[in-house]
Amino acid sequence: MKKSFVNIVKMAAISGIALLAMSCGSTQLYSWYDYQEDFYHSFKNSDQKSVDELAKTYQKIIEKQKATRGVVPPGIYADYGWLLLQAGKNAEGKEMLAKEIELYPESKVFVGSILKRYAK
Amino acid sequence: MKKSMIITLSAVLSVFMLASCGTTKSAAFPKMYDEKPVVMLIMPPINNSNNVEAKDYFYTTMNVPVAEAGYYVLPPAATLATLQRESAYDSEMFINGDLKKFGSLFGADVAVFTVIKTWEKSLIGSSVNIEIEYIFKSTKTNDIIYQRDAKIKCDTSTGARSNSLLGALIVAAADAVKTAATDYVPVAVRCNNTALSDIPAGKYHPKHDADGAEGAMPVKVNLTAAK
Repeated sequence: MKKSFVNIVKMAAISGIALLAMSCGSTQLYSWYDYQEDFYHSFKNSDQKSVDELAKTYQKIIEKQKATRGVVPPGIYADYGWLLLQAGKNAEGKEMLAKEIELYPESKVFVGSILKRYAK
Repeated sequence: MKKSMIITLSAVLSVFMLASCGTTKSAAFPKMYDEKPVVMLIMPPINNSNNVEAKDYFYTTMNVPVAEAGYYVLPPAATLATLQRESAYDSEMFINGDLKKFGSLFGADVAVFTVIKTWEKSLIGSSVNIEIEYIFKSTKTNDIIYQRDAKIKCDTSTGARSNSLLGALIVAAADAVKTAATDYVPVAVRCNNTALSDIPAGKYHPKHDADGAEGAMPVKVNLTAAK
């Protein structure tokens, strides 16, 4: 009897700690895929291959959000738009920047200033 | 009975220790709760370490943990281009200065500074020891609203283990090769995630304004970031 009680307490303690650890563990707000790796390589190498990889990842982040918020993370529309502007794709780039402001109105001061620069 | 009491007590104590990590978030970072910042600007890191590449590792990985904490993080690629255009790439010029211009130019509530103090690979190559300070400063008051000065041991080992001496030497050699050729982006990611795990939740996080009673780490900490 004593032994089974000890086992129950042991199990309860383990489950408690596991539960607590799980609840302390972060639930992601956004799906980022390989963004950090791809952003670093594009930033570091600035070659066409790594820029193309980053563009693909931006598209994936925009199209496939599986995390808790279910919306595109802050800065992604804007940085994808920025990348398109650098590639001379002004119409698509400006469209992305406008989406950033629509989703995150607090970005208007900065993202709006880029749109103004490319208004012509 | 005694044994069961000890187990029960130690279980309660473990849970209690896990739940309370010293002080609370609202006591440790009161200005985060008073000012309720929304827009974060990641500044280019100040690199005082011997690894010139460390600056890029940290700049390209900082926006994710801050966005995951619930904040709007300004787009890092477009932001950096603008900082360079405005000759403001050198964060050392601003860390002790007036930050109001970042409020007007970027709409930022907070400028996030990082100072990389040390980046050292261990001799056998199984870890990287990093000392880094994260300083979040209000662009309205120039006050520090969140700070962490962390010494972090980041495990980069292959995960292989051996009981024999020869085997251990082979594993150590493999670890050394791996660390020399390692892509350090995941190291910076783990470093940030570990050191910034107690940022009070921002506007887009379900715990926003509801996590003040949760535990906070001390400003200065020694941490281990396991794989």
